[in-house]
Parts: sequence; structure tokens; C-alpha cells
Amino acid sequence: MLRAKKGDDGAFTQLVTTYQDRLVGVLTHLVSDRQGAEDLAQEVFLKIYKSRHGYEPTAKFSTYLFRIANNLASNRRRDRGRKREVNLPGSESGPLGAPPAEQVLAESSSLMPTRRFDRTEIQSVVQDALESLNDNQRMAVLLNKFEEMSYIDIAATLDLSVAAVKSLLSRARENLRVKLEPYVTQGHWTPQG
Amino acid sequence: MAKIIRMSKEQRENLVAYLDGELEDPAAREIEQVLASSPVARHDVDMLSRTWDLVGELPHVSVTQEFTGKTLDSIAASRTGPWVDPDSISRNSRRILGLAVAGMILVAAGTVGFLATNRWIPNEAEEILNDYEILMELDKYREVGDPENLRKLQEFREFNEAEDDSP
Repeated sequence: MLRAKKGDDGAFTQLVTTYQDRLVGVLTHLVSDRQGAEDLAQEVFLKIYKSRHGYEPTAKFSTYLFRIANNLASNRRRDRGRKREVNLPGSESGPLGAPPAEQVLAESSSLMPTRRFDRTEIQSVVQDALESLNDNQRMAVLLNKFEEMSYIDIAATLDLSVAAVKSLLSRARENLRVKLEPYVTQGHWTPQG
Repeated sequence: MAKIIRMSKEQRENLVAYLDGELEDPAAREIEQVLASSPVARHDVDMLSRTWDLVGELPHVSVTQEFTGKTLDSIAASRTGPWVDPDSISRNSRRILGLAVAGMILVAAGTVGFLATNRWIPNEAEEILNDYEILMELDKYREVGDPENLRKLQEFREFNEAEDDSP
């Protein structure tokens, strides 16, 4: 990034190729929409490029990257929230919308207690469980799980204290445990390596 | 029969930090003691770990070459927009500074030149102005001709004045 700051465009291209999978991965699970995640990731890289001359290496680059990603994602969620207020009556799935995959699977699992889920189904369950978390909890979980970020780095990314991150992750993991425990206790899923 | 130990709210909150290796002593040692003596706490830790592993089943994402191309294109396009390359700002600044310095040198050279010509090269108009009084009386001076005549005229005036003053 320091080379890009000095005007080395090749160095910036290298940054894009190094971080694009990680960024799009986290954003895809954050916004539950691959195309939306890619659009957001492009926006993140563009924003970083435009402000590269003001970059100060006060933290790891990944912390800086995901901090911008989180801010842009929050702005987008806020914008969509405003639009949704207008679009609510147009829902075609009843007043409460489509049932989450978790609910559908739970219902089918009650009919077939010994049924084992395939990986795609379980991914859908996990994604639904993630979506049940609030925005900060979800981002903290994704950074912790997929970026293996320390609490200090998550705190810097989310602009929170380390104590707040500890509390946030504790609640998030507990919520996930409640949602996902049935799938691990009843043997519906065992990791396939 | 093992005594059932209930975890406090703080201990429950510390459980995840402990699993993440983020809990320092003495809180970490406290959790270890709770885990050693509480099957409920051990079950919680087991469930937290296994459900956490389940989160790892989310699909790994790899972007396409198309995404990389689009991203780099959008960055390249931003260069022609309102964003200005700071390098070009410094190039322009250097150019403006150079022009300003050249202008200042030109003005200084002009001033020095003016002062030099004003002092050392004779100015015809200034000479005329200096000799203005003489020039205005030049015809008379020509008529008089030799300065000796003036001296005589002066003596003559003094003679007449002396005669006028006599009783």
C-alpha cells in the first residue's frame, strides 16, 4: 500500500489480486448476495485507491480494508432499509416473507429425524443463522472466523473497544450455538474434512 | 456426585474469549477451573466449538478474472474523473513556481535597467529642463554677445543709479 501511495499502480493491482477473494468472501456472507458483495468490493478498492495518498500505516492493511468495507456495507444497508420501508407492501411471500432455510430444514428434519443434510443445505442453514445476528455481530464473526483476526484488530475494524468486541462475539457465538446446536447434536451434519 | 457449578454472566462471556485464546490470566485460569468441575460448562464449550466449526462450512469464495478486470477498469476510469493525480499537482506547482520566478527576474532586470539608464545615460529632456531659464533668455544672451558687454552694462547701470542718488 505504501508503494501504491507513492504512485506505483502495479503495487495497487497486486493488492487487489491479493485481497479480492478474502474481501468478496466476507462481504458475500455479510450481505448474503454474491453480486452485491462484488459491487461493494469494487467500491471498496476504488475508495482505497482514490484515498491512497492519505493512507497512514497505523494498522494492518487488512484492518484498514475491512474497516472501509464495513462502513460501505453499513451505508448500503441503511440506504436499502430506507427503500424497503417503501417496498414492504409488495412482498409476495406473505406478511412475514419467505421462511428461512433454517426453518424449512428444521421442519423437514422433524419429519425425517435421521436425515442427513448435504453440504449446500447446511451452508444455507449457517447463512440463515448468520443473518439472524445483528450487523456488528455478523461482521465480528466473519472477521474472527475467516480472517482469523484478533480481538484488537476486530475492535479497530469496527471502531469498538476490545471489551465491546469480547462481549459482541460472546453474544454472537451464543446465538449461533442456539441456532445450530440441533444440527450438530442430532447428527444431521458431521464435517467431511 | 459432582457438584453442579453455575457459571456467572462474566464467566459465560469469557468462555468464547477463552476458546479464541484471547483471555489472559487470571480469568483464563478461572475458566479452566470451571470447566474442570462443571459438566454443563464442558457441554457449552463443546457446543460452542462444534457450532463454530459448522460456520466454517460456509462456501469459500473465489472471484473470476472478470471481476478483477472490472475492478481495475473502474480504478483506471477514476483517473480521468474529477480525481486529480497529486503528482500532476506537484508538476503544475513546479511549472507555476518557475513562471513566477522568471517573472520576478524580469521585473527586477527591468527595474535595474531603468535605474541604470536614468542615472548614467544623459536624458535630453532633462537637460533642457535644467537649462530652461537660460534657454528662455537665449535670444537676449545672443544679442549681448560677449560677456564683457554685460560687465560694461552693469557698470553703466551702477553709474546711472549713482547719478540718480546724488542730490
